[in-house]
Amino acid sequence: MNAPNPPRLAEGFFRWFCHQAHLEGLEGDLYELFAERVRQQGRLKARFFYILDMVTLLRSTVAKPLKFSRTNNTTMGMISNYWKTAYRTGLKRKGFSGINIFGLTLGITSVIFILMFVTDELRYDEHITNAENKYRFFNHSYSDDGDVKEIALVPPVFASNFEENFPQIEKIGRLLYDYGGTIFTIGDQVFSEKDGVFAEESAMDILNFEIIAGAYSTESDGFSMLLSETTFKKFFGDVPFDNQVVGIGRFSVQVTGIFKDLPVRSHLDIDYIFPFKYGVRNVSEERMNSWRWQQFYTYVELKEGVSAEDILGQIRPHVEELSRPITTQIGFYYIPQLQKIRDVHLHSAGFEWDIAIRGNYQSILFLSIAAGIILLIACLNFINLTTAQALKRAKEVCVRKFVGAKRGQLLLQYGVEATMFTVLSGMISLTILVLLLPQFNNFSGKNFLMVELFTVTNISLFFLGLILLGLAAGAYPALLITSFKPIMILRGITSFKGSSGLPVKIDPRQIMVGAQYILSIGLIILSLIIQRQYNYLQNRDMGFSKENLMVIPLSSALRNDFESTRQKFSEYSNVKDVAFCYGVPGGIVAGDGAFIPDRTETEQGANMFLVDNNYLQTMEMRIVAGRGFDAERETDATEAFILNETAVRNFGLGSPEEAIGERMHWPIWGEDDSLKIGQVIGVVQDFNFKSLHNAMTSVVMHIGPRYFSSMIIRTGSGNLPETIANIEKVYREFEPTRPFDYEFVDQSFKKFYESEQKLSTLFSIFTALAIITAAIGLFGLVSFNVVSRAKEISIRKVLGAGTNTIFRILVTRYFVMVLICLAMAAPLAYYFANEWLANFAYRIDLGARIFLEVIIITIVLTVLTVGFQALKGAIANPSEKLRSE
Amino acid sequence: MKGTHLGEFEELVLLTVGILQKDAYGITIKADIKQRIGRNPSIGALHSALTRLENKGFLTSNLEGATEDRRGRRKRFYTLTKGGAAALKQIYEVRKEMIEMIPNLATS
Repeated sequence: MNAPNPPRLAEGFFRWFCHQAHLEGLEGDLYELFAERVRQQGRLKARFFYILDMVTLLRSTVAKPLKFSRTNNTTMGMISNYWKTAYRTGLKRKGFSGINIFGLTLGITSVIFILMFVTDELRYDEHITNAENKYRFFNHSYSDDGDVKEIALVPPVFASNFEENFPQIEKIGRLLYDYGGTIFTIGDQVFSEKDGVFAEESAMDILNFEIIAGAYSTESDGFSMLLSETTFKKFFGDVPFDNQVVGIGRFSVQVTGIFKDLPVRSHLDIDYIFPFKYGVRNVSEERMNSWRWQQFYTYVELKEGVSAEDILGQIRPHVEELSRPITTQIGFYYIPQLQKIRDVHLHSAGFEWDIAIRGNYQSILFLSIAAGIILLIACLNFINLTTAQALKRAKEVCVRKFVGAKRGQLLLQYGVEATMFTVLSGMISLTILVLLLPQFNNFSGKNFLMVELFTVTNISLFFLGLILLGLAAGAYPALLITSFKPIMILRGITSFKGSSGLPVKIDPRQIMVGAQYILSIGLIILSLIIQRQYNYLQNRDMGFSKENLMVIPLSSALRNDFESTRQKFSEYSNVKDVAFCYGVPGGIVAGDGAFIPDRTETEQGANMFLVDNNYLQTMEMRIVAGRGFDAERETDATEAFILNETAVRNFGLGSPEEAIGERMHWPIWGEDDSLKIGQVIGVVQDFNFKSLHNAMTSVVMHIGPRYFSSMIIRTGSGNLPETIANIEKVYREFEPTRPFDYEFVDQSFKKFYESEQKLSTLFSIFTALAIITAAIGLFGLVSFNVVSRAKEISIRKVLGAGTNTIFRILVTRYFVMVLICLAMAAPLAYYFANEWLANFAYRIDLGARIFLEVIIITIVLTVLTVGFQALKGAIANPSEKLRSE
Repeated sequence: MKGTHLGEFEELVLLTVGILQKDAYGITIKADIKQRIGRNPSIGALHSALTRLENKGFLTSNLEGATEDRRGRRKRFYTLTKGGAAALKQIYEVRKEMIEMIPNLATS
């Protein structure tokens, strides 16, 4: 391999920039440092520092001087003069330059980070070939109570039936998620893995699984399976693949193949795969042809030239005819949909039962807008402050005009000047980027590497962007300043109104400051609302107490005798209660149905919780009518049901009290045609067992030890590590080798709101940045205003105006402006907030309070930025200002 | 004196060039300053100081000694001129004199 090279672009640029007399020595020094760093710090850092070093050399002592260079023409010469002028004016007005650079740096940095995040999100599933013809099925599910859901799972019959009936389908394949994960034993080692599926070979083809050793095989008499490269290494170490065998429970399972790890940017994260047939080996033929059992992720590849609309147009009536008569019996119907395979990651945010790794398109949009707003505010600041200074530079412009500068040249001058600011800010942003990259990776959960970021293309695009930004921001001030007529200066102009074609009365600067304020106020409102909603999600009364609830999956040793297991765990003093169940809030809950023989013919859809006598007490749920399950009454186990309030309403049972005693039937799982027959003995208050994005659904609870899958332990608060360690000790008495898996219910709920939490943090940061940028912009403008009106103020004072009056004169217009901005920003923000809140079934009210708070915040901010300067202007001694005349 | 005044950093660079004698070029000067004083000047700052010193006549330079790391570019070696040496000496005398006039410093 060749020795690494420094970035070519920087190299070439320096060669162009540097004076011939200095070039050889300096270039040699740069190369030498580079070579040294490659050896010590690696190629990437060396390249980066090469650029930094090169940048420190961009100074006038090194540059090609105009007079010695024969290649420079006048324009180039003038540009270097523009640089010099820009540099000097920049230094002369440190405050203004500081504000400009600060604002632009904030804007550019936010845009870089957001751009990195967004492009990464948009690049999911890039590895999938022929992606434009590949789709995933999902259903829009409509229930009788008017609830509409998007469900990622579809019935098993979709794949088999469609393949037969629609020749437009090239391939179709199903995945069945391995719920609860699998425990593997290899020798005396035990591994608990969670990310696995039962997959059809066609699905693996569609998803571009790449088998690198062995094959997908269903020939084995027992089980067979495939492992990912990494999982294989984890299980067996660094050995060649040789049809190894793993233990699952009492079975020996042959590994028939290894597949390449899925790329990081893939919507699926799968470590092991069982052939599909093993997942459904105990499922009857009839059930596999069911139109109501929604349990399978189904991917399809359409033939070239077939559009999703075309095929859906045929599939929908077909499905309606076959499925609707069946599903309406249990109170719902669905309409099949297709989503492009590359949309799965970003466009499935609201889906239920989805195992895909999902981003959120809306959040991305929000963040992009927020970053854009900050950049816009920074540019407006720049434009504002530059035009505010216009008068001061009028003399310079006029002198240039006298000497013969054309307008085009002057425009170029201001373009160059603005570009100087953006490029400088861009460099600072890059430094910030390098410094903050680890934190950013940590926060975003991504893994950006500097090698990937600092490519020649990226850097060139970045600088091109900076130059464009500079030209965009510089355009208006340039047009304005260059419109001065030299004669005006000779006459001695004292004020300047824009001649930009706008009605004279409106100061374009004020419009720009107004725009900034509208945007920042809008951001304040949005970020307050997002924060409120997030807090609300966290703190809402869930109808049970979600703190200190530990969930442990049941193994056969724990299941042996529930009472003695409960006894053992209860012995430890920090364990308050123990319950066994199938159905834990925050986890996976069964959807099922029950009959109310006295009310309806059809089954009523409900979420089924199979619990024990201790469950309600352990969860601290509240009974609103009737009673809970009672160990003393033997019939409770065989013929008692408890409903939630929503079920009482949905089943049409009147009030909770009236529901008590209602007869109820439940078709027992796994036993055809046998019913659990009983009656309602109690009603519990509605409790949220799903994320608060989703509305409350009907819940039926009854006792069913056969199906228990989890143990719930209510612990006391305090000393969590010790509690966990003690519980593990008890657990070890039952299960000496099996991994100790546990979850906390409040943590599972927190996971539901991870994206909201991130959005809330990000929005707070952006809002703070936007406020700072806008506030310093306003600050700069006010101080300029106060300075330029110093004489007017002094004369007013001399004539008898008090400090109060002066203060009012200076401040009023800004307050009026800010209030107008508030009035304009509020409805805008209200609209966006409503859009976002529509994601949640449970949400805060957008009452007047939030808007009141925003008004107060804005006014306080305005007083802080405007008030101080205005006061300074108002209390100044008039004689100081007038002395010079 | 105008035009030959020595800034603090310039003085440092000049001294370093003197110390390094025949081996004073960009990289070694930079490394020596870093090692001796703990400051890490950018090569831009260093180069601009060297150029100024050369313009003031305290240093002369010549190009020689290309290496592979430098991809055939020669090093610009700097040497102290008589004027440079005299300037350093003069500064030293002035400082010494001044320090001796501070009572506490002189005795300790």
